[in-house]
Amino acid sequence: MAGYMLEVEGVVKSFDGFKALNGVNLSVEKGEIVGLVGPNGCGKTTLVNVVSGIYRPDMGKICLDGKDITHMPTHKRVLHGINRTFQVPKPLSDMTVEENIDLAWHFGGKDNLARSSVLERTNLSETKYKVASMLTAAQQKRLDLARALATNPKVLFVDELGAGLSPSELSDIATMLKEIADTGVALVVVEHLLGFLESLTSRVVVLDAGKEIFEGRLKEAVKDERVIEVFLGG
Amino acid sequence: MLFEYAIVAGVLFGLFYSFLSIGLNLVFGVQRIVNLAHGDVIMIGGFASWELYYTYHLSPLISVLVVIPPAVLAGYVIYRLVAGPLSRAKDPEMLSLILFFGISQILEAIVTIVLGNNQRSLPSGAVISRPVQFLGQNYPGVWWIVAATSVPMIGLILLYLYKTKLGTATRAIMSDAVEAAAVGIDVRKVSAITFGVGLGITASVGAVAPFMLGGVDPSEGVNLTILAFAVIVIGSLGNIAGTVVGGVIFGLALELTQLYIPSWSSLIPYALLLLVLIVKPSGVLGRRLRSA
Amino acid sequence: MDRPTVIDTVKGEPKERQRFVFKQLLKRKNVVDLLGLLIPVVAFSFAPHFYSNEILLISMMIYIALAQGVNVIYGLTGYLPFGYVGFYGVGAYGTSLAILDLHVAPEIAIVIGGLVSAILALVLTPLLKLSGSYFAIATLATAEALYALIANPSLKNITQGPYGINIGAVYSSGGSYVVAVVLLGLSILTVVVIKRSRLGLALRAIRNDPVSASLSGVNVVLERTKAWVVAAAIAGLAGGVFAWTITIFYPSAVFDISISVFAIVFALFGGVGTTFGPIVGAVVLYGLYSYIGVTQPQYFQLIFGVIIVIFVLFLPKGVAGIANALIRRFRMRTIREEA
Repeated sequence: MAGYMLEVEGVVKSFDGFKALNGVNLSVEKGEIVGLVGPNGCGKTTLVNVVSGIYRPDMGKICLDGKDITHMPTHKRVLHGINRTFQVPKPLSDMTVEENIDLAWHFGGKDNLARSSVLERTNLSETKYKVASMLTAAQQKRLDLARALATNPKVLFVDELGAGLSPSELSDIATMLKEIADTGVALVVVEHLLGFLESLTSRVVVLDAGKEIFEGRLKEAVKDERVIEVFLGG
Repeated sequence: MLFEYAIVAGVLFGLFYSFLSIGLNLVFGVQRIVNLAHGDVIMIGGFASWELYYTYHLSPLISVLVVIPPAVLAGYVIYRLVAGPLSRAKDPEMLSLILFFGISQILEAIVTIVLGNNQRSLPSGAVISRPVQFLGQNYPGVWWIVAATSVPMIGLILLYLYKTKLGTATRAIMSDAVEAAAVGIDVRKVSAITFGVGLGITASVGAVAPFMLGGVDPSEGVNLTILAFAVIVIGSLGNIAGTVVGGVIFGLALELTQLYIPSWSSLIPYALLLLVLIVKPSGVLGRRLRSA
Repeated sequence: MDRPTVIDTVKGEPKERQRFVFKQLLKRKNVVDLLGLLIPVVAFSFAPHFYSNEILLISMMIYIALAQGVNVIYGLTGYLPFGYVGFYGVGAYGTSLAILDLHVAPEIAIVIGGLVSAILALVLTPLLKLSGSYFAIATLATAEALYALIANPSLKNITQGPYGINIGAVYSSGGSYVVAVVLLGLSILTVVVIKRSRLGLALRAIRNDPVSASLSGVNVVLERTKAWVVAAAIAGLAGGVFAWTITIFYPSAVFDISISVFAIVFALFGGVGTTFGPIVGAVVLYGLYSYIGVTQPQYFQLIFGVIIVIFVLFLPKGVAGIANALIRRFRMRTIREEA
């Protein structure tokens, strides 16, 4: 496995005949930030769902830090160190922020981060006792991030975290993500907002129709023929 | 000899069971409404048929059609009343489950209060008084008549779903309600009509049910509901044509157990339902239209 | 703002947490739950002095226990066990057969009854993978299947088949009353403890969003199973208590679906997810039932049906919800007046 923290090999996933993932490959090293981009419907979110165990792949393999997690149930994967956030946050709405974190802390494995630290790093300490359904959209996104963080993941998939945020909120979150990556967590940032992505990383993987079509620096990606065609609908 | 008898009886009853369950498939499979009052609607249809026969000498075969309009209307009204709370709920399926359970209790209570607790049965002479011979065996004529009635009624539903505008709209809503609304379908109205149709066909089978079940009484509602669920789950939920497959499998299973291990035959509906739910929730026809 | 009621297990957190825990015991929520446990237990313990119909009192205690069992399953996991009575019947039979075949003391037999139900619940865990409505119907089918199984004439030699059970030899009105009170206390205590435990936290999370819960590391099926087994055990013990109380019964008495229905309605009416709710629901509604329902079952069924519809549509939090809303409004008004 050549020391990759996460290896996705040849994953195929179909839904009622529609091939959402067509033998996609992805490798992520420890502590690196990788962007995952592609036009709508290219399979980004499906890939995140397959990696986090919400769907099982029809074919292919997923290895986390050397361990084959392809067929593991979601909660087991979380214990092994992989987590993700949601495009539309799914907080535990009737529970307070503190309880949301408590849950992940209790169940997310033995080497968890202290809860106060998680709350601080996602700037939620002030809203500890607020019920999750009363949070603003940006706060809910941070709560989702905090939940994932609390399980001390080695790899974290961040699904369109930037969507709907104001420029100042965006730069706050970018700083948060960079700090997280600095602690050794590998980040896969699924994004539409290329500007936001640029502030985080230079390595990017472009997906189209369920397969990677470009891997390399963001600056090169925007000049690549295939990428342009795919985004502008050739 | 007995084996062939069981097979033929199984198919005849199977068609009846399909007819009995198709309304529930429409309502649950298409609309995600768990109508626990299904059995009670059948029972009301049976009581209505009984009343019409003994008071107006109306043949149950005519009642089959007569009970439809009032049932459709009732279904439409009920749906409009409950649609609001259901659409706002976090879990509409569970809500409908409890709600219609409550309604079933109300229906059973009202019927018992107004019409008494006794089982009502219809003499088969109302429809046909001599046995029918088939492949050298005698069968109660009534079974053939009811089976023969079931086929066109099921056919009517299929026709409605696949050949009429309303039916197509219904299927559109089933596969994607949001998309359906986007193309201009009045989801609320069509859904209400669908529910009405579901109740209509259920009351309809109730009209002839006394012939096949030995009679109808208010407390039988629950068992009939479970039976209907078993049939539609076996035949794949949401798959209307599959109801026929489910019904026939169910009918055959019942008849064969009654033949070979009679004291255990009462377990069949439950055992079949559990077996399918645990082993293959998508049913015999496989296409998973709703995840269990 | 109220402090959360999660008492966490110490995982190397600073000592101030432990003092915090002790102060929590005196917090309002805990006092309420403590009262919820003590008041019924004390009341029922002394009730025979004032009211001689012990069978009625025992039946009420049994229904409170069953309602709390429904509370555990439905209130905490959102899964509605229509076939809850299956565990009750199995518990009754497990207890009776333990007395008849194994000759153990009734108290032990009741525990065996609870165990048998718990084991049955474990066997039935595949049902928990089904979605809510399928689950409800599947449990209903299971309960009916158990009834058809146990009452089957072919099994006469094991279960006495349709002829019923007779354990009159061990009849003891005092003994059965005591175990009924113990059952009452145990069932309420179970709810109180679970609400404060990790299991309770996990179940609330699962009820909110199972996917998010699993991404927090919660094994959704396992936690649901725990609640399921606990609820089944309560029903099994309740069935055992019933068996010892009445000592002669037919299978239809312990597999009657209306027992599930009552338990569910009591819990819904009183308010699921609370400690007091099911107690209030059972006492009020069962009291009403024994007053008028026994002679007029149809009218009672009608009232029940109407209650279900109204509460489901308009009062999902039950009586407890109404009470809480009133208390909150009263407190707001006093706060405003003080300001």
